[in-house]
Parts: sequence; C-alpha cells; structure tokens
Amino acid sequence: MVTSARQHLPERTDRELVTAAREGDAEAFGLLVRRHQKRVYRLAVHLLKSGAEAEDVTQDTFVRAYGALDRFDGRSEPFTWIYRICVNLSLNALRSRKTRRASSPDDPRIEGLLVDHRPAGASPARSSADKQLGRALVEAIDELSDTLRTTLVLVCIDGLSHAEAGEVLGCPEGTIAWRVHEARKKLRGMLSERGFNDDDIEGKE
Amino acid sequence: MSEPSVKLPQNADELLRDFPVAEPDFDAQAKAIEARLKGSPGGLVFDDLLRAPTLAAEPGEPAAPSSARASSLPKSNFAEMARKSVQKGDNDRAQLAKELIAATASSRRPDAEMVERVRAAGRPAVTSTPLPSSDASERTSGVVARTAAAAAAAAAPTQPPKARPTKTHPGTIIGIVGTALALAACLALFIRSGQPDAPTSAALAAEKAADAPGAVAPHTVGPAPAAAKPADGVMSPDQLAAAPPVAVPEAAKAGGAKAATAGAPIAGVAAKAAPAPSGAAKQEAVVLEDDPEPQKKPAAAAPKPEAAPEPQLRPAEGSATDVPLSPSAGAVSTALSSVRGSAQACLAGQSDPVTAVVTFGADGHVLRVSAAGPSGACIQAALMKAHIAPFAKESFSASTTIRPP
Repeated sequence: MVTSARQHLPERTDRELVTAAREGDAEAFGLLVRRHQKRVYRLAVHLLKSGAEAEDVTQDTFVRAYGALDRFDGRSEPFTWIYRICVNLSLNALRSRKTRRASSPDDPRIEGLLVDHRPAGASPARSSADKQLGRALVEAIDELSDTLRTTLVLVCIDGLSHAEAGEVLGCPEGTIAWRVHEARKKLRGMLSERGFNDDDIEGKE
Repeated sequence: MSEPSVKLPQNADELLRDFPVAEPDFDAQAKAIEARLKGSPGGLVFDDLLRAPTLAAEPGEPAAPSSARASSLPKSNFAEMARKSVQKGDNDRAQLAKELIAATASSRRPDAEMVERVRAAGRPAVTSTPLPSSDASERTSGVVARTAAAAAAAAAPTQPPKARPTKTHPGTIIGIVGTALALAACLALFIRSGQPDAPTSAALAAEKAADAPGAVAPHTVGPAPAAAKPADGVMSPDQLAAAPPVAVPEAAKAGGAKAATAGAPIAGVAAKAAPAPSGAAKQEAVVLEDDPEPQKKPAAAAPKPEAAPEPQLRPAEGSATDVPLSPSAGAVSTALSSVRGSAQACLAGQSDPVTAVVTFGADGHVLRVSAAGPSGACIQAALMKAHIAPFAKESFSASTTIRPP
C-alpha cells in the first residue's frame, strides 16, 4: 500500500519530496522514485503484460514526472499524479502495438505464479489450485477492455480507493464503482467458463 | 476500497490483492532513472500525459454529471493559450491574449472585486444571473436565488391583502394578481418537489454546475463534451489570429455562456480545434486528443468496445503527418521491442539483465548504443537495427533493459 510505504518514511511526505525536488533536490526525487517504483511497475505490468515494457514505462514515468514537476498543481496526491502518467504511457504503448497480443513469455505475472508462494502449512493441492486460478485470472483480466482492466487493476489489485482511482482516471467515483462492478462481473463469468465455479460464493447478485 | 458487490470464486480476491509478480532489480532501475535524469533532466513532457487517460466508455456506463465533467476539464487552458501568445511578442497577439485571459476570468465565478469593478463601471452584467454581493457568504447560484424567491412567494399568502368592500383600488388588483402568481409558483414548486431526487440532489447538482467554470445546466449532457473540446485545444498564435471573429458554435455557447458573451472571437477560436503548425506550439504540446472525457458521452452512441476497433483510442503523442519534434514513447518502445528478441538472445545462459542506452538520430536510425557487460557488443549490434520514424530533434536517447531469454 502506498499509505504503508509512507508510514515507513514519516519524516518526509510525498508532497514535501515533490517540493524539494522542484527546488533542485535530486535526492528527494530519488526517494520518491524508490517509494513508488514498485507499485508503478506492477501497475504497468498488469496493463502491458510484458516485464520489459513495464520496466521501460516505469522509467519513463518518473523521467516524465520529473520533467513536469513544475506542472504538478498540488490538487491531487503526487502518487495519483504519477500513476496517471504511468497509465497514459502504458495506454500509449498498448495503442502503438500493431496487434493485441495475449500474455507474452516474459509476463512477470506468469513468472510470479511459477514461484511457489505457498505459506507455511498450506497444502500442495491448494498451492496448485491457486496457480491455476492465478493463470485463469490473468487470462480473464487480459480479456477485459482497457477501460475495465485499468480500473480493476487500480482498485482491486493496487488497492486504490474509488476516489484515488477517480483522480488517476479523471472520472467520478460513481463511474469507478460501476466499472469495478462490471469488471468483476465479467471476471466471474470468465472464471466460471474456465471451470472456477462459484461454489462458495456468498451473496451473489 | 469499498466492499465489492460481485463475489469472485474461491480466493480470487485474495489473489488479486497480492498478485505475485516477478520483480526486476528495483535498485538498478532506480539508478537507471537517476542516470537518465542526470543525462537529460526531465525530457519532453506532453500535456496529454498529464491529462486524464482517454478510455472508451463501456456500454451502459453511467454518464458523469455535467458538473463533474466541467470540473475535470483543464481550467486554465484559455489562459495558457493567452500566455503563449504573449510570449510571442506580437502586439496584436498580446491584445488577443489579454482578451482571452479576460474571457477565462469571466467564465469563472465573479469575485467581489470584479463585481465592484463592474458596478463602478456602470455596465450591466453580461449574464442573467444576478451578480453576487460583496459578502462571500451571500453568494448564491441561480438555483438558490430561485429557492429564495419561492420562499418569499410562500410567505406572501400569509399576509393577504386587506379587503376593501366598497372601492376597487388598482393596488388591490395588483395584490390579488401577485398573490395568485405566488400561489401558482408555490403549486408548481410543490408538484416538482414530488418528483424523485428533485428537491435536493438536482438543486445541489445545479449549484455545483453553476460553481464550475463554463458550467452547463444539469442533464444537458449532449453538448457538454463538444464544449469541452475547445478548452483543451492548444493552438498556435497564428491560428488564434486567423480565427473567424463571429463564429460562435452552439457547443461553445453551451460550454461557457459567459465566455461567449464576453468575446465572440474567443469562443470561435477555441471551438476551432486544429493541429498547431508552428514549431513553438508543437514544442509546448502535441494536440491529438481534444476531448479528455469521451467516455462520458451518452452510452447509446458508443458501440461495444470489445467488438469495435476502439476508435477513441488514439496515441497521445506524435503526429501522422508532421515530423514530430521528438519520437513518441510508443514509437520508441515498438522499435525496441522489434529487436529485443535478438538482443535477448545475446544474454542466453546469463542471469543478469543489461541496461542499454539507445540513441536515435533525426532520420530514425540508431546512432549509437551503449551496453555494458560481456554481451555488450552483441546487444549493441542487435539494437542498432531498431528504426523509428524521423523526428525533428537532433537525437533522442532511450534506455531499455534487456533481460535474459
């Protein structure tokens, strides 16, 4: 969480770092980079499905943000502003692709699923089922439209609030809520098609 | 995050929240970013990257309230255009720029100082909305004023005119007619108040809309996106000067009645969103996306995005016809992606990624590649084959990380 990341460095807030960077403190911007690069990278990965491209976009995001520090008006949080640049760069990269491709071999999400993250005490069967579900989730997320996928990634994966996601995407919270609902509905349908039935779902629509 | 209404099967939510992603060496990446910042601090930043992402509206997506749409628009666009014109130094353009700044100011809510100045000048207000008083607490939108009028009207029947049995005085007739009108107004308001959401949310929305610069009345969702276009377009001073002075499109009127009445040239200029031909304007911003919120258009007009070829998804940078000042990030990314495979082959059997800096010349060919490590020469040879469209700048450098296959 961005909030928790900030808690680790309570001495300087994002805004303070931005102010310092504006005044030429390169170290302050470096701190901002280190604070948010992981989340920016994860956001780009889910949008681009490619580790190499996500790394490029992550670098580009911070370089562009640094170049536009003077244009940060302070109406939003610095991290939502940075996320917005990242989303724009990711969408540009997606649109410049000639074909809409499925997950690439260097998709870090797939690589991440191959690593065993089984918690202590978890059964191998559960771990295997999780991996299968993860792969199905990746496929289902990738089938969503750019609009729904971007919103879902921001809210459900990245943990942004509807208000924060609205800041990033420039739309009202109600629209974000609608898109999240719609994306989850489609995800559920696609997971069901892949054999992940909602046996233990409670409170269905 | 609010509680999702649609439940996902099994522990999918848990997986979503902690999705495992293979991570690169973030420390090396941070150093690469810092190196890029030292090499070319900032680089080019296009306005489009700072605006809200252009995402197509989903079928059935609720239209955003007009107040939200208006508030999401860049509010200083007219002013920015004007400042750019002033920087050009031409007297005519400077004059036009001043007018643009004035129009921008007038499209906002007038403040007390402005009201006093207008009153002192003895000029009538340009809008039908009453000018607010000098006390900020007494500022009211039209809706609130109407509410106050209704309250006054409601109070009127409590003081019926005194009966004069013998003589029909003209004042009495006026009083009766006034009372009748007041009763009719009360009745109308009472009937309207019976409609769902009418008394509170609509009034609040209208008030918010009135607060927003260039706001339109609620529910007039049609012309609002069109009205947003001119506000986003960044035009060269030449276009500003050449714009027809009387062409005020309906959309511009709807988007900012005050701006339109304050100066027809401004609305006409702004409504004519066209690519800026001058180099200076191109350097400031490449205008490709006129409407930052196309997804807020009525959903009925938009086909299913998955089936359609996503007509609203356009690159935010670069131009198909002009030679851009600098290549777009997407173009560079695509070019590097095309040779990434052969570069990755150089790292076969290795585990560490290599960061390479590729410098493109103005003709789009690679001038030089710097890559460290034992495979540097092989990677250089592979990346030298990348090619992008020509651009105006002398050279453009981009760094990329090559990971082992």
